[in-house]
Amino acid sequence: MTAAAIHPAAPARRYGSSRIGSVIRLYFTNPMTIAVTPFIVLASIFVLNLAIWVIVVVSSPGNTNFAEGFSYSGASAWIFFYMAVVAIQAMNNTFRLALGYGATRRDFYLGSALVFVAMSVVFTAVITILGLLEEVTDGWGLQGRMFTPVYFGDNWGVRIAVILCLFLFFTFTGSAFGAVFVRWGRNGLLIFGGILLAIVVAIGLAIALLDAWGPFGSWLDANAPLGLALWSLVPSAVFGVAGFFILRGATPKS
Amino acid sequence: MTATATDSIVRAAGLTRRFGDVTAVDGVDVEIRRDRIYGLLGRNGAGKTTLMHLLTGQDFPTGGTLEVFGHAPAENAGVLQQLCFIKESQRYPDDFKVKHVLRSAPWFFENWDEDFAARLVDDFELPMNRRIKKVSRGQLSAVGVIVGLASRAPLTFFDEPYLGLDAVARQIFYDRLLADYAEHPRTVVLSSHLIDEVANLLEHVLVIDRGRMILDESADDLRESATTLVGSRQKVEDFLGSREVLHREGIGGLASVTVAGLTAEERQAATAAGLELAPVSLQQLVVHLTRTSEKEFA
Repeated sequence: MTAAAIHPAAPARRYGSSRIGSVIRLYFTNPMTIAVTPFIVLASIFVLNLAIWVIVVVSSPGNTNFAEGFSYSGASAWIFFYMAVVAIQAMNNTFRLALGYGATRRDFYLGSALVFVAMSVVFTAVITILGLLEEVTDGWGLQGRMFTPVYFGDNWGVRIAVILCLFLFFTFTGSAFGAVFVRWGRNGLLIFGGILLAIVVAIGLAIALLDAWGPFGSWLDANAPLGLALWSLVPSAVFGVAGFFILRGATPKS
Repeated sequence: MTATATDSIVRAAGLTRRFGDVTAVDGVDVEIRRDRIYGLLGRNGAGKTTLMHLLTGQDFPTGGTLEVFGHAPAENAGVLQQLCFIKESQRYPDDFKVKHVLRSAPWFFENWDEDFAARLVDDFELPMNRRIKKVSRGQLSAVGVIVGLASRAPLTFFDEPYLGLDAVARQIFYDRLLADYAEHPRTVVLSSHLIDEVANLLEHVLVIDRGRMILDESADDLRESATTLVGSRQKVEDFLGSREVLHREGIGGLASVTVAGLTAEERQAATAAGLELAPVSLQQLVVHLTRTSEKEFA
């Protein structure tokens, strides 16, 4: 390669080609965090749950209906939090590396958002398939319910929508929090958290002042879980868009 | 040295970055031309890193104008793709090993030379399978040095790239940089406070102090701008008269004094007076300059 190749005479070369693809690859440079660890943890929790189901079933002779009790399972909740943490860390460390590599904040955020959406779809598919198996095997022969808890709804269309909406909500909430931290540091995070809390309290206050807890409760009942899941797309979208604009002004100090 | 219009790849005018009431970069005017090695020198906290953050679009100016390859660098993909910025404080994803850095860097630098990177890994004896979080400070610096060299970006910034590197490893860095630069000319900006160590690499010297650019000169001109006179104390004092002294050292009856540029006749006169003329150290010059600026602003 000659000097001319490094310094092309005409500035008209592929100016501003996108680095979105490179950012996406960056997430899979070490596939452990995104594509391996979640499944290892999922498998471990599943084995733990199997053991617990066995304990419960063996210790309650005469009882034949466990499915309802087992359906209030929070065992799959961790994976949503895991995704939120992945998103927070991405905004922090992966962002700093991508910028060090000369990617724009725009390309970094768009690439990251695509990765988060793709991960949400893949994990939704995995949980859905495991849930199908759970149903077909009558709860792994134990009436166990880890992938079909009552919170996900009771038919497959609803379950898929609810799980996907949950993943999107957790990843984009995570990326908004991560972006706030990178842009404004610890104090920014506290203020951001405070503002969100204030919004929730204000809504609660409004409901109380309007004496509307009753109607609110029946609205929740009527809409759970599908309606609520779809409503969560509103904050997910707000966080997703806000994260973009917050990160565009962030500087990787320190 | 004449510069054509396309020769200049960085132009800053009145470039300023304030953080609250601290002005880290204060009205800097600077031009960087292609295919040269620049030294960006100055004390800790002088504004070197902030200036590099601005030039590489990692930070946003609060005042002045800045063009890199003809455009404002921040969020400009076309500009940023021609830069490589190696900084001492670079962070990596928690799960990254050394090999992951070297695997991912080529996706972002189109001039990346795989063989060169592999040779550098051998030179620095880097443990490819060790987690970035576990490597020593020196090995972390070596990772940055390798990315900075093998990326062959048209404009490469090294911000104090040698922290924790021992003298041998630093020499490897300087040698590889010079050899590769000779084969693949590009623009390198090297910030350093080990001034004498990098002095021989530099073709152009920028000195920043308290956010202001206090020196912007070619290294050759700079070296000629001052001379060190060595001789017996008496002879040196006689010759000095009322000249401005930049630096003074002495042992017993011997004195070594650095003075601002001498004309050819003055140099002859000094030699005739029995004094030895020695080239001045860049470090001494910079120390003198930053001290002077300290007095002016005190």
